[in-house]
Amino acid sequence: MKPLILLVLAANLGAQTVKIDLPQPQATFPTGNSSIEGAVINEVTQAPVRQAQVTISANAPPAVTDSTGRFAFRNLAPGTYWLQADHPLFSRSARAAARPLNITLGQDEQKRDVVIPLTPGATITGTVLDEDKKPMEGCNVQAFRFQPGQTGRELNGAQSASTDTRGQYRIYGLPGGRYYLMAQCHKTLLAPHPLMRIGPDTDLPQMRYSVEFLPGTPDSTASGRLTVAAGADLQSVDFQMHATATVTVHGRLSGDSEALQHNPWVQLVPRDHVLNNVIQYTGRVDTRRSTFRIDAVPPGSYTLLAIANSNEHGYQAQIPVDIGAEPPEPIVMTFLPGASFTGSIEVAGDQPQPIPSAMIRFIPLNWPVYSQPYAKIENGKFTISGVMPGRWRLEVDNVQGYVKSFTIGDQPVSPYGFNVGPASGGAMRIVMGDHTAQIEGTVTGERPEGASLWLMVVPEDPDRIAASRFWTTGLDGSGHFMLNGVEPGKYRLFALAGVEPWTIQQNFSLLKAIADRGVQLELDEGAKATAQVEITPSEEITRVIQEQE
Amino acid sequence: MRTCLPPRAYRNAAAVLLFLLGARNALCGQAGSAQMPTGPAEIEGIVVDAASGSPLRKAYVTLSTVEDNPAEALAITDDSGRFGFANIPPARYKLYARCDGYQQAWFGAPTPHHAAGVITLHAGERRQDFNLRLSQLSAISGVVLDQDGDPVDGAIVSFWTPWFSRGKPGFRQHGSVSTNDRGEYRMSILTPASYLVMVNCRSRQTLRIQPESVASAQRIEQFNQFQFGVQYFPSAERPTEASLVTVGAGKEIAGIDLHLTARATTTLRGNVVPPADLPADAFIQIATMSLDMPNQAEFTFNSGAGPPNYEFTISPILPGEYLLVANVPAGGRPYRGVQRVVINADGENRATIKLDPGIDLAGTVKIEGQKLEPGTRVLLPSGDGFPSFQVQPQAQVKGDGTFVIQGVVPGIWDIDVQPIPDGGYIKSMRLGRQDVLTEEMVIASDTKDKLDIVVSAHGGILEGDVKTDSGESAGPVHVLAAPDGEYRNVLSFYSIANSDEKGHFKLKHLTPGRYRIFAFEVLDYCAWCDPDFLKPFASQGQPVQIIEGLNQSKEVRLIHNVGKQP
Repeated sequence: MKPLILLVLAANLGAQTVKIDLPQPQATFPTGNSSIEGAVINEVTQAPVRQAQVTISANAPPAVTDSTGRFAFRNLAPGTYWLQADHPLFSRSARAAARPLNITLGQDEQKRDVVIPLTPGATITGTVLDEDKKPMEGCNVQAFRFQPGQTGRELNGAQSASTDTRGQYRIYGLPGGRYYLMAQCHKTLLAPHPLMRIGPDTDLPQMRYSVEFLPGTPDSTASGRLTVAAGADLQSVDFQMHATATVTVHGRLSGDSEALQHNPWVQLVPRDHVLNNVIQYTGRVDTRRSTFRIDAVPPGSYTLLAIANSNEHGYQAQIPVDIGAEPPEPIVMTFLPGASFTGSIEVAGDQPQPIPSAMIRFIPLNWPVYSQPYAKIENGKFTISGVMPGRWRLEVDNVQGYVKSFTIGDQPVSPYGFNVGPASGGAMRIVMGDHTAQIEGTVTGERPEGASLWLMVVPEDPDRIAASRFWTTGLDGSGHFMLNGVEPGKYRLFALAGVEPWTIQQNFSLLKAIADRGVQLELDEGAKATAQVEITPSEEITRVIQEQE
Repeated sequence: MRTCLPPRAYRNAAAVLLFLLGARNALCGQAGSAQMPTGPAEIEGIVVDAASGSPLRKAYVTLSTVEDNPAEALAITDDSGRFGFANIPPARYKLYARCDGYQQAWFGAPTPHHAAGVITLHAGERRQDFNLRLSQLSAISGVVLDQDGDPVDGAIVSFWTPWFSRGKPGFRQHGSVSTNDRGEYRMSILTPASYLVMVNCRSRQTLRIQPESVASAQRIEQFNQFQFGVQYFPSAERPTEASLVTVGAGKEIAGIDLHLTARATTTLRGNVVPPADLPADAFIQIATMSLDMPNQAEFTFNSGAGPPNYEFTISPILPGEYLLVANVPAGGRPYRGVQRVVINADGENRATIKLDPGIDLAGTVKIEGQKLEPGTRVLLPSGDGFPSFQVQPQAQVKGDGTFVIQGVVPGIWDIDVQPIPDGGYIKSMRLGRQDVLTEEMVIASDTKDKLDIVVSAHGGILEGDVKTDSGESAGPVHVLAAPDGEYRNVLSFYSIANSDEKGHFKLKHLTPGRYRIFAFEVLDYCAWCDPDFLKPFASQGQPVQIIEGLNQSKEVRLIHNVGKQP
């Protein structure tokens, strides 16, 4: 079977907010005379995997496998356990659904020969050369792939490596899949020039190595894909780089003069949505003269950004700039101040209580906004400044519950995605609620032997998905589930067998494709819902992910 | 054809050269005809591999003026290693070439340890004799393995040479590389020298093979955690126990393998004792530095302490000797505390760090016989290198010559005044009664003394000529003025200059006092920072008494010290 994209997402687990109902802390833990023994193997070669870390859902330290791949957990009480193996050069097996990750032990049962397969990562090696076929050191070679995102398919970096002094790079531990490959050398070269005075205002002619996509194109849309099987060893994947002539971009900062007091900086970012992930040309700002310069800019289409911010202030200017072979005329960037809002925050109820001390933060949802304005709440009041035009998400720290309502002026808006216009501002009101809902029920459908089973509550609103507002739980011993603390709202409830929820939670198009498998729920405050959920066949999820590739 | 490597098809390259020269004559028709020696000068030359003599393509050749107002031109060598500069105004110049994989070379200097030559170009002069010889850089390679013989990926391997810092022996870093998934590393841009090779996996968790796990009825507070720490070639735990690896020009020393062992980590608990005036909401950052490192500059910020008890926990941490540094800015003032601690593998490890407030250091700056230049500043670079929230405390000097540097935390601080008038020098610096021009300034939390600085606009000047044993001009060499007598250890009094093509030199800004003047054929940067460096040459130094504002002249005999450096 083909390895799945799931694995890449699993590697990002640490960055996600996953809500799992964990057992409450307790003073003592049950022990017994049961045990689990087994081995971790390479799924492709069937060879034992050494130094894999095996963790178990029991009060036991992780085991680290020896050269035979062996591990053992002893003194276990009867019950159901899940096991998981990790190794930096392997991915967790995509075939978890068909593997005994969940193990039920009886009294004094000695379970042996448990096999945990790991999918080996692939290796890509090659050389980066310059025009003279001379090796280039310190270049970054990156394997990209499309990953589903809120706005459709987004190109994301997966693994990267630097070239050594022989120009050789080696990407390893790469999960199988189809990748775009890109090399980037951060090298500028001075071009020959006659005798020139050297000072801070000298524009020395420079050449720059830019970006090269496989097979040999600087254009991201013309790049081709490389199919990488699990454990594959691809060699001689070489790049030839080309230096291009560059220009120096000069300009002046005008507009709100306060901006110059708040760490102003300028940057040229390509308008190409792939290149803007990897290329930024940062300038030097002379606040005394209100000028800036950006050296060694190759021809291309860019957005020129000027940003100034500190804790309570934000200023920004942004214009499209096309750079050709000749240096452009000096560019004037006019700083505009960000919006400022004052507001109140309270907890809903018969006797609304003010919130003593907490923090609100605005998270930018659209590029290119760099600041994350925040404000301390004092006696239920706050002032938040420097909010640039754009789309934002509200986050409230150190307050129990969820945002029940959020208004700007008289307008109710979603805390998960609201717009701030240029030169706006005014009053905000945040009302927090803490009457969460509860869902309980049972699961129907075919569950493969030993496969893990998860219940996952997915919001209908994509902005809430992007904010990771998910709830997950497992089944209790009698096949029943209970989910607590769910915010009011519209959801779909899924039952997943052998698929870890956090591997698909941000996969918008997958969630859309399997939407009909979910039970629709509309939860009011304090609601107690009951649901019977049919297991979404894991083959269906596998198929959608393979189509996405 | 490989850039910066000898061309394989030399005949073709020669053909290209002929073509280029032909094109050049076509463009500048009168260049070859005999004319009056007026107008700009023109130079040409070739860059070659020092070992093979083969020309180097795409080498960067820079021609720069010697005068204070710098100007430079850049040329890139062609397939036959040739370069040229046209339209050069008559003046004095220096010329150097660099190329990837090679050490840069200055015209007139047979090795990088020799002084660069000065080229005096006359009007209308055409010279074609500029031959620059570049030596290939060297490489060290090997693998990093763990206790089970498995490769360690992502380990940082760094390269150091012995070095004196503030009169004490230490090491200076020359770059680092990381290992790949096969544990391999290769560093190939080293200059020929003897290197300390260190692998650093500090702060990275690793695993030890332990297939058996036993469930426990009691809560497990923390699983055993392991780290590799650092290691020096060959299998030494401290730099002083390591062997240096010597590599010659253009050579590769392979098989410099390092064997790491995963060691059990432990926990350090402790508390910070804050001063009574510390604002209540201050949260203190705690950094650690292992004393098993080759230099004392690598700190890791790994804990914090806050009210009410100011307790901290650092875990996991490997046993060993450490410096703990606590820092916090609070109420507009930095606070710092430094504590040495030995962390043992077994038993409870505890440390207490006393936190001290930064003081306001007041003082005066006087410039003898001149008015203070507006914008004059006094800066305090850190002398102990410990982290602090004010990396370089500084203050503007007021019109009346007074200044107050706020928030100077207890520790060792160097002193810098900017700008110093041209030709001037710092004449005296006193903290109360202590002479901090020649001794270290140590600030304590109860320092109340004022820092009084006197600058003179008239440093001593020494001009002279370097002669060989046979009385001929020595040409470009290194001239070192070394303080003699009680100030022999004051590094700021040392001064260095290169002599020109006629062996003439000029040393400015000299602090008055007794000196010995040495002229060396070869000299490395800061070689004199080793307190023993000058001992074998002592009798060959020309004694001189430098007097304020006086321009003296001296003839100095060249010391042939090629191959005699310690």
